[in-house]
Amino acid sequence: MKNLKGMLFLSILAAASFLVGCGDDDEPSGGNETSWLSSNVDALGEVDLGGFSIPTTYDVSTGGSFAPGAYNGQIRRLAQLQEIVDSSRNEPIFWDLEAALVNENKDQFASEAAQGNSDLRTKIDELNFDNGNTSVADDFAKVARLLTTSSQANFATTASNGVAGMITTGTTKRHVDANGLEFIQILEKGMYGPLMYDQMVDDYLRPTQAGADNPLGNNQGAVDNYASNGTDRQHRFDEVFGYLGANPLTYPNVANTSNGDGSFIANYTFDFSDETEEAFGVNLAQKLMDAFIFGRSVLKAGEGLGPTQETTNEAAYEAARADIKLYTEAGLAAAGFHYLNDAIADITDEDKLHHLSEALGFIYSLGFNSEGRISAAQVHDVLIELGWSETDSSLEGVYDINLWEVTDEQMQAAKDLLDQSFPGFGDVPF
Amino acid sequence: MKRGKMKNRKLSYVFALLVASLVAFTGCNDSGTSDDDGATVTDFTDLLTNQVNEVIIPSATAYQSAMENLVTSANAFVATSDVNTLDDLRSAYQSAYLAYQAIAVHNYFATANQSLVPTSNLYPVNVTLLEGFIAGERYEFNTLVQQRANGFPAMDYMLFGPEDVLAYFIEDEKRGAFLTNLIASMKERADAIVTQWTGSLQSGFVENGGTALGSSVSTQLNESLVYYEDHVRENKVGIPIGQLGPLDTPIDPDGTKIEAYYQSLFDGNDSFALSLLRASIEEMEDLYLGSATSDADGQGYDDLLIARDQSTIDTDIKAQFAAIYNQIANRTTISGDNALYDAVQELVTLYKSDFFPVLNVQDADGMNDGD
Repeated sequence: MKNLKGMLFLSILAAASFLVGCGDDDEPSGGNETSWLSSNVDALGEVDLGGFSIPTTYDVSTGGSFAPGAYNGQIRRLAQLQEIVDSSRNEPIFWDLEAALVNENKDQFASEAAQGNSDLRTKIDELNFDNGNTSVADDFAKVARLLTTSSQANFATTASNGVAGMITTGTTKRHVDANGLEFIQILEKGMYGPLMYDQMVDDYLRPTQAGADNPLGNNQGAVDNYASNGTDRQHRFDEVFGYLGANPLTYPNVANTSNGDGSFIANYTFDFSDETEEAFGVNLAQKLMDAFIFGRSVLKAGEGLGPTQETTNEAAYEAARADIKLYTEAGLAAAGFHYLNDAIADITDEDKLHHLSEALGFIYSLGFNSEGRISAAQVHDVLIELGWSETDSSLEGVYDINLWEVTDEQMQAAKDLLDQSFPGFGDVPF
Repeated sequence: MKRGKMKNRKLSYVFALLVASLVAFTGCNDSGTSDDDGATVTDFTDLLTNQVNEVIIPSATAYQSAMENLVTSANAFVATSDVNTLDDLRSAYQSAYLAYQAIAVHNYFATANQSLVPTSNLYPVNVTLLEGFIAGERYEFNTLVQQRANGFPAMDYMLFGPEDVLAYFIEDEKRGAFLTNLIASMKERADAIVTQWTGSLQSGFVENGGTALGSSVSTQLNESLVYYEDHVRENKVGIPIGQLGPLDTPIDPDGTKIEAYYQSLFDGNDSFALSLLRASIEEMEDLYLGSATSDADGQGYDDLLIARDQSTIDTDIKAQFAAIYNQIANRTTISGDNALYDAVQELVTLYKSDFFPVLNVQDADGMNDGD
């Protein structure tokens, strides 16, 4: 696997299409403002990865181009979140969802994919590992507890302003609190930030994890489980991919218009990629997947038997890392814009409550990236426009919002503020 | 491991790296670092060349050869099941099991990548599971589901467990078919291990210098010691005796969990299990001494200690190997008092406390994170 030789030329067709897109008459105002969406990988041009051929999929399984590799813990945690989401519309909910977040007694989940020693809460707690502050996870535990208890107390009640109960959108019934906050939306979409997004961009993509400062490096010898996980840097990188929720062999599958063969962040990034491609010539989901495949290729090609034999192209790796962070953030931001647009356009209060709850979750999640285009403080400013507590940027601040009473003007103001960090997105019909 | 533990190790790791780098840098100015057979402070070329050519590869080829004989004996037995072919088969099985002990110690790089240990010697065998695989003609020797019905422990049961072994095989052809498929799978793995160790890995192992994490010296010492702790100290000795490392925690002794359990029942003693234990200790010693199977004394880790004026540590380690052999010779069963366990454990202490620090080899135990 070491000393791979040869030359590989990286395709820059996407960049070319981006340039074409810039001249489109339908382009939103702000034209070259969208240069922030340019790919760092494409900017590299030719990249020497020795004799390693970049595959078209992210296949770490036996026989795959990236083997050996694994991200079982991430698959398990996403399966756990899926099971929680799937149960959230029961009337009432008898499952103690707060216990589900910690996988109490390690027996909370029914599906085989979700069973095991992993849980969701400990990963959220890692956010504040250094100072022992577990407040973020506590906030989500509270939402889970409120959802369970409110569903049991109010499942037969039709919600109204000031009254917790059920709302109906289309044929779907949903649990909301007295302020109209749909519990599961803030629980699920809000958790994308401290769980998946943070684990991806602020944890496993740190220099000491998948990066060049990892003490175990990109070599076989420093790990005792190479045969199952690959090198330590490769394994950390795979864990980033695991939290994306993408099918490694098919994402983004355009034939599956529902989710592109992705779940959670991968799903929503796919959902709004058509719009970004139309507006800017940049398909977020495809560029994100390309970056993952390219970055893993860089690590595979540079793998050594030992530390002195590593040949990792760090500049190429850093470009992939930057693209992953960029397009993941852009995907979450696009979702935030989309649900604000929906809520503004909604005719019924129930639809507005549902979509605004989703928007709040996505926007809140954007704050969990210390190197993002939008800072946590700027996220708070956007949320304040929607009525979030001015003094409490934590999830507790959401309870200051009466979603029944949030106006279109407030939501437009939030969009305008968001647009300062994601220029041009405010004009896209997400 | 927990992230906190990982973080706590980082400073000491960085410090160790700095020290190792400083030593290595200083060593660059030394004259005559690699052109003779004497051990030097920073150049491990002679040591690693000797290790791969005279210690590791001979162990791998010896195992391959023993497996080849086992294939032949098993095929002969299945074709004609009688007392003579059964004796030959048992003899070939014992030789292969003994040869396995040596290559298993080198549980790193190709050996680890081929999953030799988890597919060949996890015991006790689950007989119910094994009979289920036999009945279902399932030969999933490379999968986790068959880990407890695989390798030598499965053969131990089939060749020594049934009251009438000949009748056991003659009654049901599926048993012979399972046995030959199992052995063929193990032979393929032995071939792959030899192919890889004698391929680019042979030179790559030598070129992978230094003592940093991932270097051949670090990997060989750390992974062989991990194997020693998990599979020698704990599985071969600790669990039957009633001690569990690394804190030597007392547990209920379980004499049924010894290696080659069914042969011990058949023989009425643990002689073969003790010989398996001795074989694994001998390979640990060969690795330390750089001894070839031909008994030639190439450059080993003992020479590195002596070159660093650490003869006392070398003497202590050699004395500890002798003490372990003495304990093995004094027993007829694995089970019994703690003296054997204590002797085996003491070698771990010497390695971690005295030997590794002299070479600036970091104890990598616990460095690998979970998920």
